[in-house]
Amino acid sequence: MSDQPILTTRDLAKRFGRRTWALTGIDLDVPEGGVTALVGPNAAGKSTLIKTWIGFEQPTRGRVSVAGIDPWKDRSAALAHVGYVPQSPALYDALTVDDHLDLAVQLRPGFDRAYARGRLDQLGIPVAQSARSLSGGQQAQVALALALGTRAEILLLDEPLASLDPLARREFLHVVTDAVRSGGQTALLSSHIVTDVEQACDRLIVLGVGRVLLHDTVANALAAHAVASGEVPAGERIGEFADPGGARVTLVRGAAQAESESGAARPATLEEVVLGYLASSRVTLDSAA
Amino acid sequence: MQRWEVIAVVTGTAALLGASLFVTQQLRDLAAAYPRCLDPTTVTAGCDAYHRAVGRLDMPASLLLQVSWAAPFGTGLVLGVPLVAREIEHRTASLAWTLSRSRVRWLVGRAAFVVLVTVALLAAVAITSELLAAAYAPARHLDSDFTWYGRRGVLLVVRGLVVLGLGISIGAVVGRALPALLVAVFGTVLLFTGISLAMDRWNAAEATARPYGQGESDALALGARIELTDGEVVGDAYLASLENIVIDADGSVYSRFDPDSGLPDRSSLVGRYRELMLPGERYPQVVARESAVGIGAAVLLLLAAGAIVRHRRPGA
Amino acid sequence: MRQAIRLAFAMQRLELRLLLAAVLLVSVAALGIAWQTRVLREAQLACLESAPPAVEGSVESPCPGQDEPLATLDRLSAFAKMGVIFTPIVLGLFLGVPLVAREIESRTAPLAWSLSRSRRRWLLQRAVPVFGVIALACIAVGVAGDVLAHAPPWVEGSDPGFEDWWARGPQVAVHGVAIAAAGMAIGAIVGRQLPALLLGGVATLALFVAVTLVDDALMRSAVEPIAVGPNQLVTGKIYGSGFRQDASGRLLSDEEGYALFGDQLDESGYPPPGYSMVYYLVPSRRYGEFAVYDAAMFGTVAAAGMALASWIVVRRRP
Repeated sequence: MSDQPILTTRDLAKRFGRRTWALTGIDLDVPEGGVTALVGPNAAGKSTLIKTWIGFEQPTRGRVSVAGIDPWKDRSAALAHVGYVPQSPALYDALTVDDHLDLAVQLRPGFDRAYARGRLDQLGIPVAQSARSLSGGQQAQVALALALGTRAEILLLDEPLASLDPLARREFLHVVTDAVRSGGQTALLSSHIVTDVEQACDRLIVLGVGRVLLHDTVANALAAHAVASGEVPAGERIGEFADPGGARVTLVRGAAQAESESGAARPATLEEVVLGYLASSRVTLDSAA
Repeated sequence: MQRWEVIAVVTGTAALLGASLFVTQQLRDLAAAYPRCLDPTTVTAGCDAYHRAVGRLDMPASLLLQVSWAAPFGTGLVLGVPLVAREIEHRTASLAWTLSRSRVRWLVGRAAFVVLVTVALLAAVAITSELLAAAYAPARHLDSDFTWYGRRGVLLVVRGLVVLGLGISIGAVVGRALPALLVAVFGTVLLFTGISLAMDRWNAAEATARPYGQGESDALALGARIELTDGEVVGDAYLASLENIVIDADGSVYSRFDPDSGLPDRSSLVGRYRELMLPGERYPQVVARESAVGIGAAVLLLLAAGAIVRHRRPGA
Repeated sequence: MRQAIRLAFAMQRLELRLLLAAVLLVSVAALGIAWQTRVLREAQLACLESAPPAVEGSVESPCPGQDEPLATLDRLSAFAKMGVIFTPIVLGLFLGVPLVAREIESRTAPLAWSLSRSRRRWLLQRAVPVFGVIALACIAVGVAGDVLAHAPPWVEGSDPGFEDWWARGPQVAVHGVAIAAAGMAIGAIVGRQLPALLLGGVATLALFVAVTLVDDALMRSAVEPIAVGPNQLVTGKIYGSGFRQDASGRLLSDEEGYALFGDQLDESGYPPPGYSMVYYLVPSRRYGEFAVYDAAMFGTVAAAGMALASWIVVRRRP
């Protein structure tokens, strides 16, 4: 992985209507290479953020760039660097999978039909069948194959796992990571299911109420955070949430190995890191209200 | 869910109603100003200005009655076709048909709304078209007159319901709004051609044969026949088999001329033209008959739509 | 390019099949009616030549064997001509409106607009094959309409002139493409097929009304006074009549003529010697010229529609 940012935002803000801010003050540098997870609850602004990079949403304020190109100034040049899997990918009901590959060849100069077809064959997707008759998982794989076939250096995947069963999710993530590792691409994958992305991703961005709450490597995030029940050890208190048993726990930064007098702090899981930061944004939202 | 379509038909209907009422008022004002000029069959002195003024309103009045004829078809198609088709096309049918305990109940709920809108709008058109026709022909008694049959009155509502039922059914079969609309247009043409032919045949069986040129202007003309001298009644195609034909002003058909007089040879009488007509006083019965057929068709089509929705997969 | 055409047709397969079937029906009907009219008319003329002269007491033609079928064909040809007029409207709306509207409504636009680096290019690839089909289908229907308009007339020696103005000729193709382009732009704005179709219908009506007014204004400005003799046929678009004093060339209006000649007018309204009847008309020989103006107006609408659709697609959220 290189440290050069391939996707950037500077003070990005996006407003819908008169009062609804989907994104506020987003500053991000996503480095080249590897898989970055963009996680957050529904309506956090994940899709909106991805759409600004792809040129589907115009920033209300601030700038974005894709491989150094502003997609609003030169969309064609920016898109040349991007393969995109839309949220709930809608394929053409009337076309077969093969037709979709032909369509991609027609629309995108340099589309690698053989590569995309190879991906589909590996997964056993019937290419002669109409898109209408495919399962949700198969449709997602077709959309991914189309994105991979562009051979673009950046893959933007908007909630591709949302409608997939666990096996299909695992297969999908395997294809993504395999492509990224073998092709040296950069993938940014949004999801609200943290456990799915934990194994596949190198970096993590936590988005909550339109703001970046955390942006770090997965390894650093896990190393730097702990959860404590009862008395909170020394360190930066991030947020409090309920564990699966209903007990209140607190995410703490900078106290991974510390212990409290009344309870134990233990290393946080990735899901707990995310929950802690999301809890903190809720408090901020509540106090702002 | 059908906001655009409802807005479109309401707007169109409002424009038609407004224009019809405006022209109706103009005609009524003329009739009030020239009460002695209303009967077109009598020539009354001093009525030139009235006839000229009415002549200027001929085109708008005829056009509005034509548009009234078309209103049921437009309303039924625009409101009926997307009712089920859009649910399937947008993939919301799965949600709707599982939330509702019964698909038929779901359809009844959705269809009831469009039926109400259709009936309300077309009833308004039916009333204004009757008013317009009455103002356009003030000397006629339109409740026993076939003039502008199908362009006024309750038949507009009935036809609208038939087209609505057909549109819903076809939309449910095709599952995509725009193609279903195309298919429904063809289907409407076929269905109403069939209904029209069937009604003509039914009415013709009860029609009376009037001598040529003696039919009343309020009657429904159903074609012409030739009554041969032996009493057999044949169609026009019979004449094509004869070499020479002379038809007299009274509708008598002869097969040769008298070379001396230059007039038809009376001894060569073949038969007499008869016009098939239903007299104007049969108007309410004919309307009731077509309404019954139409309502029956509408009910069958709505039942068919229910059956289709019940058995159909929710995917396109 | 072949792939682009194949895929464009695959996406609108059902509509294309239905509409092309209707186009075939209209064309075959128009040609069939024209052919049958020719056959019956020739038979009627032959019959009339051998029939005894019209006599007092006879009110009908001595050859009714062709009368009724010719009258039926006349009624059918009116339907066929309406079919020719409506073909470009139906093709244009049902094929043009969904080009962008369906992509947005069925949410395939994000896929298409992310795969294609240029949305303009994507639009061209989608629209060109469909517009080509519309143009070809409308040319076929327009040619059939032309044949029908030139079917043997009731009056020997007359030509259709400006009759069936929008029901014949290659200009029908330009109508279809213009309506499709406007429909495509409306579909791109609205993003939903059925509402866009309704709006497109209203826009089409407004377009035809506007063009009618402009056509009429252009023709009125080109009206010429043409003197005709007794029993001389007049063909063209007539805007009025009057009289002309042959010696001086002075033109008289209808009212002036009637006031002057009164009882001297013969049964057909023809003036006494020294005067000719005059028709203010656009002669038939200028039909082609006005057809070109009409096509140019619709062509402008087509270009504007495509430009607007392109501008919207580039800027629109999918």
